[in-house]
Order: sequence, then C-alpha cells, then structure tokens
Amino acid sequence: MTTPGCRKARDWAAQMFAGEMEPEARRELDTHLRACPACAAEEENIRRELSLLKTEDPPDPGVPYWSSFSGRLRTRIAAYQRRRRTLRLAALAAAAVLVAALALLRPRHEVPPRQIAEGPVVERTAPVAGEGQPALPAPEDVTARHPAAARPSPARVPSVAEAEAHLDALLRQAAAEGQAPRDLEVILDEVAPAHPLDGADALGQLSPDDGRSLSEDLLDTQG
Amino acid sequence: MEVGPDRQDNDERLVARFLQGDESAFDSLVVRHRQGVYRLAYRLLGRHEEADDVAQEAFLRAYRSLRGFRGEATFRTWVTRIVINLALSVRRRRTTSVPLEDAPEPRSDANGPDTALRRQVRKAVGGLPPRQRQVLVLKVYEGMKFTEIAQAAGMSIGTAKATFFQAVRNLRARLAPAAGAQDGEA
Repeated sequence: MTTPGCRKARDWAAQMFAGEMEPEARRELDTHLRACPACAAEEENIRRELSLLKTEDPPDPGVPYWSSFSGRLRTRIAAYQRRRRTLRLAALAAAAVLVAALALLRPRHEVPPRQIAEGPVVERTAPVAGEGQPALPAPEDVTARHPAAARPSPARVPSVAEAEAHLDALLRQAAAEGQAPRDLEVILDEVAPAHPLDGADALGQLSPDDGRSLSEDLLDTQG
Repeated sequence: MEVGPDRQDNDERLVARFLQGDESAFDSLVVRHRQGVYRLAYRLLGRHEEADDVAQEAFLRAYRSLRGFRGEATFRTWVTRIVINLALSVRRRRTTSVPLEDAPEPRSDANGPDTALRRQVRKAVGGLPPRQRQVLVLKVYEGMKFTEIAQAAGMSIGTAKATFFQAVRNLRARLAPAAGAQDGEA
C-alpha cells in the first residue's frame, strides 16, 4: 500500500540519487525504507539501473579518430578565420565607401578661399599648345572654374543609400552564413581599430583623398 | 568530463594563456576536454557522426568566444553548455529520429550480465523528454552538481532539481516492468 511516507520517500530518492540529500532527510528516508519493503525494493531497482547507466561508455571511435581530432578542428578554425577576415574587409570596405561618398560631397560645393583669390587653376589635363608654352583651359572646361570637380574619379562613387544597402546586404549574407549577430557586432566594432587609419574617430578624421584611396584599396582587395 | 580541482586550475591557466595570445594553450584545452565533450554529445544524440560534428563545432565556438569568457563558470561547464545548445539544435533539425536504443552498443554492454536491462535502461533514457534527458545525463554521467547543471543548461538551480526529479520519476515508471521481469528471471 502506498502511504504518504512512500510518496515522500520517492521524492527523497531522487535527491539521494543526485547525491545532494540533506542528512536529516536521509535519516528519514532510511527509516522509511527499513519499514517498507516495497519502497526498499524499488529503491534497489532504480539504484541498480542508474548505476548501470553510470558505467556505460559510448563506443570509442578509436585512435585514428582522436589523433585526427585536433587537426580537423584546426582546419575549421582556419576556415572561420578566413571568413572573419573577409567579413571584416567587406564591412570596412562598405564603411569606407560610405566615408568616401560623404567626403566627396563637400568639395563639390566649396571652393577653397585661397583658390578664389588666386583665380582659376590651370587644369593639368587641358590640351597643351606646345613645348614650353603655357597650358590653356579648354573653352568649356568646367574644371578650370571648379578645380575640385577635376579630381580623377576612377570609379563611380555610390550614394549614401547605396553604401548603406551594400553594408546591409553584407550583414544579411554573413547572418545567412551562420554568423551570429553578436559576432557581427564584435567584427564591426573591430573594423576601425583594425585598420591603419584607426584613431579616436577614424571616420571623422579621414580627408576626402584618404577616404577615396582607402575605398579604392579595399575594393581592390575585395577583388 | 570528470575534472578535479587541479585540472580546473590548469584550465584557468590555459584560458589565461590563450587570452594572452598563446594559441597552443587552446590546443591543450582541446586535448584535455575532447573525450568528455564527444561522450556528452554522443549521450545526448546517440550517433557518432552527429556527436563528432557537435564536438568539433563546440570547440570552434569556444575558440570564437573565449575572449568573451568571463570565468563566471568553469571552462568545463561553459563548454558543456555549448554542447547542450548544439545538441538541442541538432535534434530539432533532425528529420528522422534514431532512438538511443538503436545506437551502437556501448563498450560495457558487450557481454555483460545485465544486457537486457541495460538496453531497457538506455531505451527509457532515450525516451525521456530532451530537457529531462539532458539533466539526467549531466547528473548521472557527468557527475555535475545542480549549480553546475543550472549554469550549463541555462536554467535555475530549482528548475534543474525539479527536472532531475521528474526524469528519475519518469525513468522509474518506464523501468518498472523491466525491473520486475529482471527480478523474475533472477
């Protein structure tokens, strides 16, 4: 017959098997088990079953498995490091494109005071009349009136929205490849300090030329 | 994954060395814990291929995240938690389930006197809900304390205890007929 003592004993039994039983509860359990053969038999059964579990070891995969374990792990780690470097560069490239785009906006609207005072600067790419003769600006060459616009622009500079979309796409791609959001945050946090142009505020300190060359370098790296 | 105090101390030193840039310290951590990690994964999953993948992935994640390891738990408990999360994820992804009792026979099973009962026990453990099985494995196989189980399984100590007790009750209910039959044979 199951008594309240039996039910209590079964709760205690779990504690006992866990090896974390209070001494007082243990004494009460022992007292009950001495008086209740049914509970004592049940305790014995479960003790034996759990001890069987304890002595079981999974099949050993063997020496070749263990000797290759670290090597295979190193291969995984190396692949992870490659992915991480790529992601870092991609994030940095996106950030640099954004910087370059922002930086290039300013000179188009500002003519440095020194150049206004000195008059138009002769455009180096203007047609040369001849050896020893001064170069003259082409009649309709806007670069003669606005030197900033004459800076060589090797690639189309994306808009801010495009740069942001690019960065967003990279993040989505990284997430699809299994990079956890926390990992991305860590990587993005590392972007500025990891680059030679790092500093207290690398993005704010970049000159337009630095921003553009950085962007070009990184895009070249990305291939 | 039995780890004594000295070994734990060594783990702490190895983690500290790794954080100072010594990559070989991580290799030592792997060698020290790989068998325990694999065995735990195997006990939770019952398949060598999955256990191997989880063990490798657990160490990779440990490598990735070790710089954020604050030492609030031991390295062993921390890695155990990674293994549990990965194993749960693998179980969720499974399209077909392979019961634990269909897994290859454990070593001690080969010609032991309790073969039938062992199989019944394994079957009963395999049939437990995943959370109960997890806690039972950590308690019985890994010999962890409830505080460690709570840290490793991401639950409160009270929940860990309650889950373990529930697992034992479940196990008892499932094993009662088998134990009776065994007694009858004896």
